Amino acid sequence: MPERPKGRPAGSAGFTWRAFFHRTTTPVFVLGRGRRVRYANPAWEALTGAKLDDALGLVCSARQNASPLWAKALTPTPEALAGRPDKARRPTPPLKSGPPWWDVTFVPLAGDDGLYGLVGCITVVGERVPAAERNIPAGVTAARDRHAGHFTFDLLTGTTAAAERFLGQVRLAAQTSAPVWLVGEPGSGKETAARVIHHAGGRREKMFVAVDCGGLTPGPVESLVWGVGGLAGSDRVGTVYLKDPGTLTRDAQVQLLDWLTDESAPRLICGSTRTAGAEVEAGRLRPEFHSALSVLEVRVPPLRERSADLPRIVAHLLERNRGPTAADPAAVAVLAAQPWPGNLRELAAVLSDAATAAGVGPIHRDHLPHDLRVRAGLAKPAPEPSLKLDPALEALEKRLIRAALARARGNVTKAADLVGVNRNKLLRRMEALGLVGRGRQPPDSSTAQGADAPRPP
Amino acid sequence: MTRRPQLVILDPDGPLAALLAEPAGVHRWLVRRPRAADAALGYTRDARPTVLLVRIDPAADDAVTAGLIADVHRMLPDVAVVAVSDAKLADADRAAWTAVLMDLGCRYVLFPPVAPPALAELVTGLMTATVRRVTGKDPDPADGLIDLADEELHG
Repeated sequence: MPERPKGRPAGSAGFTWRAFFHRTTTPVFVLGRGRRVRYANPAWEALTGAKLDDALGLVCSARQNASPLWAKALTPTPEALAGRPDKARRPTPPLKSGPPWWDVTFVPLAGDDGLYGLVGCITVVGERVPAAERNIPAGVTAARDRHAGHFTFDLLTGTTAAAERFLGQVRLAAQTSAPVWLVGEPGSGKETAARVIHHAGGRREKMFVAVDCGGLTPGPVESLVWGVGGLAGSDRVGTVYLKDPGTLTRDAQVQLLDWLTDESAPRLICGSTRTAGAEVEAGRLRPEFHSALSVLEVRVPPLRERSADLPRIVAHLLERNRGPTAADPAAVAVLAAQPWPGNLRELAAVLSDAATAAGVGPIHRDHLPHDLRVRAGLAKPAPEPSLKLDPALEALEKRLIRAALARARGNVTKAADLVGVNRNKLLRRMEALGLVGRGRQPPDSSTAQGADAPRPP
Repeated sequence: MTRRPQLVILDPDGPLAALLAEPAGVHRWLVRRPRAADAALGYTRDARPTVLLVRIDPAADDAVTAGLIADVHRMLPDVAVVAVSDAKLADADRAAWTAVLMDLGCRYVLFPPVAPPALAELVTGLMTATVRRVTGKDPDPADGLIDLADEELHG
């Protein structure tokens, strides 16, 4: 009897696994009833680093101490052995934890008399993490992953033309790795858009780093990026978001160009209130920075162009703040009547204050600031501030005296020195201004180190 | 009227508040020293320009502080968060921690040596930028000293 070729099941004349799987780029393997390897394709060989001839007949089991690590990683799940398709995530051998992971899909080949075998395929998930990154504890990594999960396209969705156009551009930006220049009014959500692009893009496993160029002086920026243990030395940075790069020094712009135009460099996204071209014209940005690093320009629409989306935006901001979960339609109508020069930032601040006023219940229009209700035609403007001199001077005097008493820790004599009058005159003024009860015996300044001295009311 | 900026320092029994006492006095920042993450989050919700400093310990799996940083970034994106650590790490570990903390929402991460003047300069710069972002104008050191727009005058 001729010897049966390897990889061919018994009684399968003319059949080989090879015909089905050999050219596929997906790593595929076949296990027999006893979990022994019966076939594996070249993609599997490339992934595991094992040769088919050596692998044939080996048992895939986590209990076999002599088995190679890849065989343990391909151990069928109890569910699969029971005849039901299943999937398992295993650390990529020889690692003891991922990423990268092997997602192993098991498809059982069940017959009337039980399981004949299993077909498996492997999908690699995630990238190998450097040792330094593995030193980040699991709790911190989980917090990072949860945080990243909030920045989805859903945040930017809307029904207005401006929102739809914006979302389309953001989706396009997420599909490429080209540098992006986000231009929009203050508070319109440029950094949020940058995070959405990052977390929906191909570098989502790596980190998003926002550098507030305007809020940091050149020293801290350079130290953060190029200092000892700086970001330029980490291969875990996926996207660098520069907030207002025109405020960087020319030298820092050159250094950034050198770093970020390297092939292995992180992706760059910039955010500014002006276009890159306008920044170059104003002399704030080097022309080569513009040509190299602002390939895709995306305009972030101001809130006033998305007023039809306001109910949805309000609901999202309230949900984010974990306060009241709703604003009643009357309150939303007041919000919709505003021009919102401060955009989402201003809206979020108003909602935050209103949420505090509302407590646990929904936000009503009475919880909104008075000037918003005036603008919506629902309240009368407050009277003009008084310009009368006497009350103004009296209030000023009160504040000065209180400040002096606070600085002197309640010692009236010292406070009198600070405001440049004698002690008795200060006490008379305090009585006249209602800062101390009439007829109250003033404390002895020599002993009154604040214990029984008149306190600022 | 701009409400006084505040510095929220989550560094129980640590030296950060003392290191920042001088700039806080000069610029008249309110200094809050909560002892727990929940309290820190409560202070940052106060509607005023805020910089939050948190002490982190890379040796501990401090998911609570990491969660605080992420929550503040998501709920209150105008609050500038600075993470400070005493741990002396290898360069690669330091870069990895900086990256993950900034991904969580920190504006800056400091590892030793932390020079007090550099810390003061950093926090002052971030506070100035925060005030500018929230109010649309630069902070005025005299603002609030004697405030003629006080509610007492017009209330």
